[in-house]
Amino acid sequence: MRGTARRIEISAYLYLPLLAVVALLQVTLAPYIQVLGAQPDFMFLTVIAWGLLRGTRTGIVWGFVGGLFISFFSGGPFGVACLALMAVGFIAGLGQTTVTRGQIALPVLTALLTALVHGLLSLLLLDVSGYPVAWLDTIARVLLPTMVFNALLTVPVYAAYRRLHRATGREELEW
Amino acid sequence: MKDLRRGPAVPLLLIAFTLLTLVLHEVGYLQPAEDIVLRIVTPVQRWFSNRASGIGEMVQTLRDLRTLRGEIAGLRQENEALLIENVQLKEAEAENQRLRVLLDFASTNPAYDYRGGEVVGRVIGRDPSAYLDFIIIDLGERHGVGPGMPVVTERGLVGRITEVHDTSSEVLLITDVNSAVTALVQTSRATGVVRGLAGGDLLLDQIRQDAEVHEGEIVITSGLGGNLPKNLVIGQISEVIQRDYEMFQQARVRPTVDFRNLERVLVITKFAPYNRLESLPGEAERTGS
Repeated sequence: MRGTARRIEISAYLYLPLLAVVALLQVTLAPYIQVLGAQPDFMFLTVIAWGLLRGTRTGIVWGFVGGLFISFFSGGPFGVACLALMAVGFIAGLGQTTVTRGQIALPVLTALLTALVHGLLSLLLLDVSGYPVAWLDTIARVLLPTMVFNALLTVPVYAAYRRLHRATGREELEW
Repeated sequence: MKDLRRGPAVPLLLIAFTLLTLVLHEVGYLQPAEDIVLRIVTPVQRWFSNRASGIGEMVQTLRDLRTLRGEIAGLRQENEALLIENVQLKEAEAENQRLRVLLDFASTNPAYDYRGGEVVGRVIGRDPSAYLDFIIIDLGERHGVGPGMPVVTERGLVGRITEVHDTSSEVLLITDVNSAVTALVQTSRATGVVRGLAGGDLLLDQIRQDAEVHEGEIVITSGLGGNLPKNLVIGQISEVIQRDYEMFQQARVRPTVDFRNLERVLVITKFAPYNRLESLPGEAERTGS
């Protein structure tokens, strides 16, 4: 076999601290990085990247765990982030087998599509939970700028997670 | 798709579990677990927040360099206008005092109707969702903070506490779409309700069509309903939206508080709610106050 890099097998449960740190960065650092009203969604980017790299099942699990952490810090209904990020992880995981080395178009397109799904699903869940949602206004002033901003950030974030993916073995999730 | 051949049981289980936790949270059964988790997480969050605010300040400084010159010129003009307005306000206040004596209103504090209770807190995080405007402060139940308490800075109203944990609380900002604050325009006394808009703006809604409302006027809390002290500054009218075919006017309000750079806030733990009935002539005698 040629070109096999030495891989470090890491327990799946060590990814829990990673997701916890991402959630903390989301609530503390992300608000300071705003462009035209849009701010980065580090957890969303993490779930997309890992879903693309490891498939639907891992994407869903990471979406669930990441959403759980996010829900602890959110003033909104508990679990909204879980459901929305699980959908993100699933959709991103569908593109796993088609991602090739050096390709950035698919991660960016996936980010755009999943950001739309993530945003609409979040708004729907908020609406159902009793939050007044101004659909058109929110889509125009928050969802669309956030979609574009996070799609652009997908490139460096995906590159970073791809290195982690190559350096680590494929985790086996034991239940 | 190949890993889904292992079966959809796990994802379905996770979805079911998430829905269950959503319901349990709404009825309050998850509160003890959340308290324990947040008690552990809050110091870590505070650590991250300290570092993040340093980075944030650097980023903000770079942005500010570009706009400072223009702002200085604008501020000089605004200062001159405010000096003139201050003189007018003092005259109006003096006339107001004379009227109050004449009508025998019971008023102990002409500026604010709260006294005594306030706690200073630090903002340690913001809601991670792009669609909700909450902040997390490092004050909780053990500091004497409770749900519904108003949160302010020296520049005006920030929001109200919605959820309290042992060492931290969530504050619903007035810019959140779920927020509604009864307000009035300081000069014309036109009443309305200030609501948050997507993107961080404010809208003063339900203003009567015959009310005089102009750009630049200050919007303050009316105190009606007793949930907030009156006379807390909310913002300044930036645009009046009036259409003859609609029942009410509206006005866009630029908040005086800079929500992007909130660091320290004040929680008002005690205040005397504004009771409109008690301030009517004769009512004070009848109610014994």
